[in-house]
Amino acid sequence: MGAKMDEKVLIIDDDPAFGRALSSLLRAKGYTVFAAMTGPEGVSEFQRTGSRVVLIDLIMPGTSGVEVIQQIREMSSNVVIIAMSGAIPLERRGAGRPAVRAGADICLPKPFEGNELINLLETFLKPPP
Amino acid sequence: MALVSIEGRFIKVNQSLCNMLGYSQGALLQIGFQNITHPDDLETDLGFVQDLLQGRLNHYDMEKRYFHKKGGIIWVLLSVSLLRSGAGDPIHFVSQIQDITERKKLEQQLRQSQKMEMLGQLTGGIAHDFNNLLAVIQLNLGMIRERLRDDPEADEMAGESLEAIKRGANLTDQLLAFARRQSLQPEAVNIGTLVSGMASLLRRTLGETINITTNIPAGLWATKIDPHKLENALLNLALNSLHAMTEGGSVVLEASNTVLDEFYVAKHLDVLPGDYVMVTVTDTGVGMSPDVLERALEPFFTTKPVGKGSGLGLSMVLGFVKQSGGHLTIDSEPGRGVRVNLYLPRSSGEASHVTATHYQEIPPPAPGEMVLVVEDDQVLRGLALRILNDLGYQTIGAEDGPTALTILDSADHVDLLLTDVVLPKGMNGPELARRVRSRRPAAKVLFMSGYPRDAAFGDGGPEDSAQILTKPFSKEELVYMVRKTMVERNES
Repeated sequence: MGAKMDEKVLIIDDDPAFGRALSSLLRAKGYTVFAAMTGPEGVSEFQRTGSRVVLIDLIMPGTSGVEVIQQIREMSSNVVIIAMSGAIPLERRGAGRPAVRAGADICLPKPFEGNELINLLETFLKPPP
Repeated sequence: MALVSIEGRFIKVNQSLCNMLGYSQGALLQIGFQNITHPDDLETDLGFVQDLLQGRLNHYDMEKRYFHKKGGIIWVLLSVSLLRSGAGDPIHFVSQIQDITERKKLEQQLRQSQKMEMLGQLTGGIAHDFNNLLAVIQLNLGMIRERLRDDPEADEMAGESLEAIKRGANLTDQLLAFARRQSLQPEAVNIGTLVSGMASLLRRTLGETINITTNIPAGLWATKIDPHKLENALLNLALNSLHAMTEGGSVVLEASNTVLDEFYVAKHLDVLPGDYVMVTVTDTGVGMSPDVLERALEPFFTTKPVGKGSGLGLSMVLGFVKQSGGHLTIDSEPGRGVRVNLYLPRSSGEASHVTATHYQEIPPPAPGEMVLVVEDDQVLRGLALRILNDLGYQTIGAEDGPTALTILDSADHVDLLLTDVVLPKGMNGPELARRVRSRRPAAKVLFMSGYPRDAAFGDGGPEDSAQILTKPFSKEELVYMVRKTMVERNES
């Protein structure tokens, strides 16, 4: 099951190389991708684009990922927020506690396989039966 | 204190130096300070000696190490001056020697603890940065692999690279464990059952050359801990034991209830007083040298050949135990195996029928009983005073013998003298006890000593029947011995 072409995904990550790799992956799978490199930029990009999904790094200079998650969750209860971090142990897939408490749907430890993210997005974006 | 000849022979030594070094006076007078000085300190010491003899210095102070007669190192603060004749010829050295071993141990613990803290921050940071790098490589490589799907050789190369990324991610995961950033899922755990289960698993895993036994008493306190991580920790320790016993040997898994009190905490950094369930893994392997023991918990430190061990096993165990609010110690000597103690905090809530101590059984002090505590270690003295005070004793403290005697002369009554054996200011514990008894015949005496009885009192002597509390002691042991000394002497 492929994604719908019009699903918008916003990537908020301060690492441009990672942002580019993630964009390539998602575009190849048919998503429309936007990117921001800081928390504040991410919040305004979210307001501007109304993205359905936010992929956000937890550790960024300045505003932390957790704060940004809080702000975005306050703006929308429907948006799917996936937190990513290199400082989450592999096993803590579902429950990166501070991020989930702040409103993220799930935490994804870096590094991850492209397919894992794609499957995750399809699961979250699947319409309810 | 000692008088030392120009050649370095002890000419005169007092009892407290003998106690400190474990020699009788006669034995110490047969040797020179060079014979019992740590080789790494000898050159500096001899350099100062020359400076004194040549008149470049009038006096020197240095921290140095002596060897105790029974082995082991005694750190001292040495102050030396040179006595000269009227004509200016050197006669002998006058040395003041103060035992600073305890302070040195604490300093060393503090340095090690700061180092581990720093390594924790460093490894946590590296793990994070490294994972981010791996993330970029993994995503791009995955996409490259899809584009090269028709090229089987390229597909295989990409596959192997992706596997290597996973191995890298597992390594950074272990770093996060050491940095105490792993996710723990604590639950109420029956430690006895868990340890028994691990023993069965290990018997099947470690092979027939390793004999595995358990010692698990009934009535262990409840703990709240991540059971899988604890199993993992025990497995790690058992594998270390296996590697230390290539010719076979024994591993003992034990569990017991333990109270870490103020005395223990005062001598160990980074641990809170309280009730713990102690899980111990002991082997009969090759053991560790002091150098290895000091670094055993550092990440990436390994004695295994290159490629055979990551050096992260014990670090992960430490990270898990600390993150769980516990404490870890290792005892080992070369050729004598290794004993690793994991102290896991007792969980509140669930009641236990076991009480840790027999100290409730001891009768309380009679009203107004006075204890004179003589101990030069300020921390230890303060703790002893506080504990005895809390129990209802009247207390008074002194840091050395002369001060204690002054206090004694002005006090209404003293029922018990609790004194360290080794004391500064030229009057040791036994000497102080004799003087106290001559002034207050009814007073009882209890000694505290860091050494076993024979080392503490030299060869025989008048104190053969003395009550001794061996350091380190727990609060319960102190209370018990104080009470026992009072009661026994009253009955006799």
